[in-house]
Amino acid sequence: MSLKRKMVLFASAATIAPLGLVVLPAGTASAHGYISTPPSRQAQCAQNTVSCGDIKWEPQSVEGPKGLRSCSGGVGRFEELNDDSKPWRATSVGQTVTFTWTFTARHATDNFEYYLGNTKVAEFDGNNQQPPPTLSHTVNLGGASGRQKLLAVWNIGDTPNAFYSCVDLQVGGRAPEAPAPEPPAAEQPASGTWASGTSYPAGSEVTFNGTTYRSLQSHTALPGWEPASTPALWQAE
Amino acid sequence: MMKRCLLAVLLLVLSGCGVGVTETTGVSLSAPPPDGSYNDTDVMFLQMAVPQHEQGIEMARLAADRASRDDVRDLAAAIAATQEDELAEMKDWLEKWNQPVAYDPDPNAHTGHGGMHGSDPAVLEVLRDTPAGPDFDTRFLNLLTGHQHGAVELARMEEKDGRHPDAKALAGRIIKSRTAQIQQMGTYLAG
Repeated sequence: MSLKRKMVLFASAATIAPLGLVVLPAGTASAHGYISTPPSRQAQCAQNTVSCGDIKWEPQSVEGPKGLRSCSGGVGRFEELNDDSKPWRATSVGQTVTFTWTFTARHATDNFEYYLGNTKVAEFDGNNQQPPPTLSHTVNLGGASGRQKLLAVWNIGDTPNAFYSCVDLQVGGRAPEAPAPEPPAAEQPASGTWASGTSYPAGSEVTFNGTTYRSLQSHTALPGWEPASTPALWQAE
Repeated sequence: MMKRCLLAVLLLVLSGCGVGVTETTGVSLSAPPPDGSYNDTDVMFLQMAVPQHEQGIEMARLAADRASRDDVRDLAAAIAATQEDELAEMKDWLEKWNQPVAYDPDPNAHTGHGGMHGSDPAVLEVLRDTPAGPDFDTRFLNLLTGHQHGAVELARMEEKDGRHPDAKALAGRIIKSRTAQIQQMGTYLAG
């Protein structure tokens, strides 16, 4: 169940019986997660390495019924994760690869499975416990070589659902190094105009919407950190 | 007590505690706004964003002190500073609206559920227990990435269903800045 759906349920329950007893309907687990390194397809969407739709906002939400072998977990609006023609970057690896998960909520876990095609190359038991906040698995790829699409599945312990994450790999030998992801495009400031992507040491001066601001601490400017709305970073002159 | 009840319900709803069962809980809310200037979504967004911010600030402060990389320390310090401003603004709105500020969540309320969206004591424990070094930087980037995904999720709900223009504007800035932070942390993780 999505956060919003839960909020709507809560809000409507509160409206109906603001002072009385509220019966909360059963929900599904809000466990969420994906493989962040090597960057999975949804991680590449979130990091803007590859241009994507909805998935870029919620790489942690690729949730579908257990037993699928699909990068999108069968979720229609994440269908592009199945598209092998998108320019996914394949990470160069050897026969042994360490996969790290990023979680937004950790729920009791049945197990983690790793597949190359229909072959399961690794399984890690979750003992129906919460995984730790940071979790890595080291997987032997069993002799695979060349470009591979690995599917990782996080099977939740107390729901019928699983989370799916596909990771593109270039395995072994003479494979070209995957280029490092580009840093966010640094726009050149036009004569002191604030620009996201620019590194501003403490004391730098910029103009933004006609006002001059002085940087209070060193940082790289980001969208959403415009001087007018971040008095912690910028002081109007 | 009222605060605790409201918070407990929020936690139940958000962490999906009610899986397979029906929860019955007493809940009471303050009267709706007389002038329609804000709605239930605004209140809920702020009440959930407050502990979300507090944990994010603690994570960022730890990293501003302990991270090995200069760029990671700078990013963490800027995140802590900007979120402190946002936090003060959000608490101010809740007080003006005479709504309880969700604070001091009962850790037992969500034991075993991995915490609600973004407030998970185990995450802070991991960071506190990791000494300075490359492992700390990697763990911090990974954990704060997960944390900021939760912030985006909350803010998108507010942007869509909230009513208060300033709270919605804040949600818009949260979506933009956290999304950019996630991208930046991704490049740090890759290199």
